[in-house]
Amino acid sequence: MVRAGFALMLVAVCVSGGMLIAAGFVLSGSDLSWLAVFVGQAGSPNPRLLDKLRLVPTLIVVTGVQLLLLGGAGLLFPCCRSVALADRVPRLASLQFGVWLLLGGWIAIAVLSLDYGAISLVNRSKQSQSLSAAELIAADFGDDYRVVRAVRETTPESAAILIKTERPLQFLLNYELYPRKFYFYPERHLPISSIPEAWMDRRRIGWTLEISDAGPLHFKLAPRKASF
Amino acid sequence: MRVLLALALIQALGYLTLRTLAGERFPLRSTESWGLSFGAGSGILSLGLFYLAYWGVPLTPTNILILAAILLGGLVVLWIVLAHRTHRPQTSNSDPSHTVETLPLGHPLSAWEWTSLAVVGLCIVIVFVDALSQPLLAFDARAIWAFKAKVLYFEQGIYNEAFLDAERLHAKTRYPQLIPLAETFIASVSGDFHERALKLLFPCFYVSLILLVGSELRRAFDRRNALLSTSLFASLPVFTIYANGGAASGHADLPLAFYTAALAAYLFRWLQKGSSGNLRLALLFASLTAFTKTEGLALVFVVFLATALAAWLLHGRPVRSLWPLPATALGGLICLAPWFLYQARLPIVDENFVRLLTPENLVGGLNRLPFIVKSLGKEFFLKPHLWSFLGISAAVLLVRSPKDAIRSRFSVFLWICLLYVAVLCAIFMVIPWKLEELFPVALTRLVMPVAPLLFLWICFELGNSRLLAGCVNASAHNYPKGAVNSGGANALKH
Repeated sequence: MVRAGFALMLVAVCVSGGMLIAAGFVLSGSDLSWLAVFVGQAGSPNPRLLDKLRLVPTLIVVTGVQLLLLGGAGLLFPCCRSVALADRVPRLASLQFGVWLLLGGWIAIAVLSLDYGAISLVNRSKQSQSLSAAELIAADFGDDYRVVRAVRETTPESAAILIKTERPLQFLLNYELYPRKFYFYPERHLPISSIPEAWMDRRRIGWTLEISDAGPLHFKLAPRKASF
Repeated sequence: MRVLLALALIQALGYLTLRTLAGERFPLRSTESWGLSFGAGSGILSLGLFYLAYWGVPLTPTNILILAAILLGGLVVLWIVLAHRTHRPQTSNSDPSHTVETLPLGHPLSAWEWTSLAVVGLCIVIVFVDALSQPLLAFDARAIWAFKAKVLYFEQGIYNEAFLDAERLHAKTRYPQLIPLAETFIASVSGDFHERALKLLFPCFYVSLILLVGSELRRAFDRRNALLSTSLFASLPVFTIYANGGAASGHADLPLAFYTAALAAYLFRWLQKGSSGNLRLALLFASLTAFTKTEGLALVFVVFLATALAAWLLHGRPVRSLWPLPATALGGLICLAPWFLYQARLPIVDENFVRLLTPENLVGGLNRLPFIVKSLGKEFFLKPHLWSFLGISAAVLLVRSPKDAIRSRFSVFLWICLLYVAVLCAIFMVIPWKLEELFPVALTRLVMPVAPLLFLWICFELGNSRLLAGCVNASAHNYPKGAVNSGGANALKH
């Protein structure tokens, strides 16, 4: 009876593995944006999340192969030890069985997360094999990198720049373009033309950078006639 | 090579600090020492650098190396002196932890144990490779922490415009500086501001956290179950693959989780066994928790409050006997007095939680509560790709026997989690931001600091509940058995 239970478990593992491999192949190439609702932080797809979701079919296939290997390894397990192992499985509907189920869930997630981590690293190393750190940063900025390039190529490192935008991008620029100094006027909604010259002179502001607050990225980098 | 030297210096300094603080009569286990050393070393060095900067000494590489050398030398001398004064031939065997430590050394590892160790190793490899494979990319890692580190490294101090001018762009000016100063230390010793070198800091914290959790579990479980549980903890996706706050991301949430776990663990040990060594270490970790992130201060308050409540309600200790707790908390905060004085001078550009937390604001924010609770529920129960079954396991244990869960001697870990979530809820009710925009990017990271404690509670309770009879040896080892599930009346007496 116990041997039959153990054999049944192995069959279930192998069948699950086969089904996962089949599912992985079926899903490969198909649109997986619907998964974003479940796994995305915002519940909606974005380009980075979609990049990650593209790895899901590979993840499913790899996990399926692992299950098949596990099933195969089970067949090689010594009979007496398999009986001892199967004997320790608690009976269905007991509290202990619930704990075993939870433990099984933990292990499944652990395997999936390790697989995903490894697949993601391999995929990333393939994509960014020939890219330098600067190129990786540029790729991470995406379209926003236009601003970084413009400021870097136009202004000296000692520049003091007045920045006007609500985009969080301003803080990344602040880091990336250091030691350039970025200032903002306390009344953020005020147009640059209305900001008092004396305030700008006091901070030796030589450049102004205005970036659209929302929607497509528009920016205007202009030198300021300094009177300090 | 110089990066490795920086990391080795941190580890050595942490090790000596722990040994000195713990004292010879309170020996630490080896995994515990290894686990705690890196975090303690990072914290001590950051505090030291901050004191230097506070007193106007420029943070030049030479000054930083001199500070490290003085700290190392001083700690070695102090350790030798203390060891000499407190040496007793029989004390080395007086602590049961020693016997538990040496017991399994002669036993070969079983297949389960090898598998668990392999999983932990694989997680660590993945996190290190992930960290080294690309420069700092996460928003907070660059815009908040590394920006501060850049300013500290290149301007060699804290009294500069980047910190003090309210109109200079600076994200979260008032955030504590443990992580930026640790990054500055690595950059100074390695000779340049290399992002990849700085990123090594965070996987090292991850390894420390795993060792800390493993060492705590080892006190309650046999070797096999401790290793299995540790591997499950290490493989939590929120640490290994989460790009917006995981161990390879460069965020400060994992270091905060480490310090909080260390603080709670030592206070828990103090509850169980007493010993001033535990309180000295708790004092250190209270300081470092508050110096890591803004939430750290709230966590320190919550951890001490939960411990005091547990001592009073579960262990039946008279309130008067609890004076070491506020004294320890106060001592930890006094160590940070220069930071608080300096922080008061920094401009308030972002949110000021303390001012916002008024009864009127809380009442006004009550309408947000359903959304907050729903989001927290979703976070813990519907995101297995981040938290695995952490939330579900905790809920199952709680629902199975709420009374026992609340009253067990391990419940202090659960109380800390619940109190911290309550504090978070209060803050979410009063902050002026749109929660719909905040939660997707911040909620996971905000609850991360208590994840190790929730995990420990689940493991201890499972071991305690005998649900894994024949599998978990909860009665074993260092946490003395007694009145585990029977509430305060039968609780441990000291």
